[in-house]
Amino acid sequence: MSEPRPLDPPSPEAPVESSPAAPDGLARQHEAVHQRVMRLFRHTAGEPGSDALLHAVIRFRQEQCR
Amino acid sequence: MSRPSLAELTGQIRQLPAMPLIALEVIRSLQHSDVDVEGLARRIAQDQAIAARVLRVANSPFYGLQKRVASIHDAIVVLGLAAVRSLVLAASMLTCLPGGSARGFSRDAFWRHGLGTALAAQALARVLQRPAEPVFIAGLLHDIGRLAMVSLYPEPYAAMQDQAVREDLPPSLLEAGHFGFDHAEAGASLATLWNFPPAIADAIGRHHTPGECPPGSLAGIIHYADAIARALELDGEPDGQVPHLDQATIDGLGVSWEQLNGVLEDTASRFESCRLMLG
Repeated sequence: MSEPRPLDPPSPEAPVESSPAAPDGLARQHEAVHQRVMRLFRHTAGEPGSDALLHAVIRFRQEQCR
Repeated sequence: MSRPSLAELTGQIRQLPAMPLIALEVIRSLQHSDVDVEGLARRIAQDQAIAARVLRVANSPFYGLQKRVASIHDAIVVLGLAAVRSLVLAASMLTCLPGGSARGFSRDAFWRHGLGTALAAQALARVLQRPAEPVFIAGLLHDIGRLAMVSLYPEPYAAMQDQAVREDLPPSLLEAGHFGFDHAEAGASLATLWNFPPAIADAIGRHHTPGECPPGSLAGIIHYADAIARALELDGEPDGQVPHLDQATIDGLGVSWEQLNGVLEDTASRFESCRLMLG
């Protein structure tokens, strides 16, 4: 497997998961953010051009839940 | 209805309220490096509605100035000519394109998205070390063709919007079928009619098809900024969608993961202060 390029986001799963120590409420908020962003990307998720933005937005909006 | 041609749409633009003279002068000044700044400041100040809007933004928390900006001349000194020209153009567009009242179209959401795209484009421009002024203007006005279509053809536009909702499709995919042209083409025609610099007219015309442009083009920046603004839901629409992103264009911009995160933060944090421009 090739090394990640500088443009690559972290692994696709990373932004979706909550910390194991996160309270349930925060985990629920993170999941809601994930669902919401996936809804926004419903026609474009999986397209290579959208990949970095999709994951960056999930991570950014989940960080705002704190 | 019989489908209007792009030329008919451009001709009918004259039915809309005229663009303020100061806006036309600002557009002209974009193409010249030797601008009479004092004269421009005096003429901006003469249009009270526009001057008031500019000063409201200049005095907003976004700029964080210690001293109140009381005149357009002061605003140019403190914020710079580029920022003031962008503000004047934004204020002028809000005045001259009323947006009509088509079903399913929100003027507020339209301008929120334009502003969000402008701010995302500026954040990208900082990362890419590109001039901030043309990207802001192109971002703000990238969908202006849609506003013209709504203003001139409210019923057909509403019918198209109904179909888009019913079939969960982006309206931009249906425009050509309903009108014979899409909002990007309409916007480029308007920008050309109003003598915008060719690079801005081109970016407006190709923001959904930037693959036709060289890597790193202004159209490519607006293409990415449009999607960023949608993804952050700056328009406040209840069920928005992020448009298709052209991979070669995104790769050509070369924005790293860290830079992209900074662009999102920068765009979202500036948006609330700059919303004053719209109200």
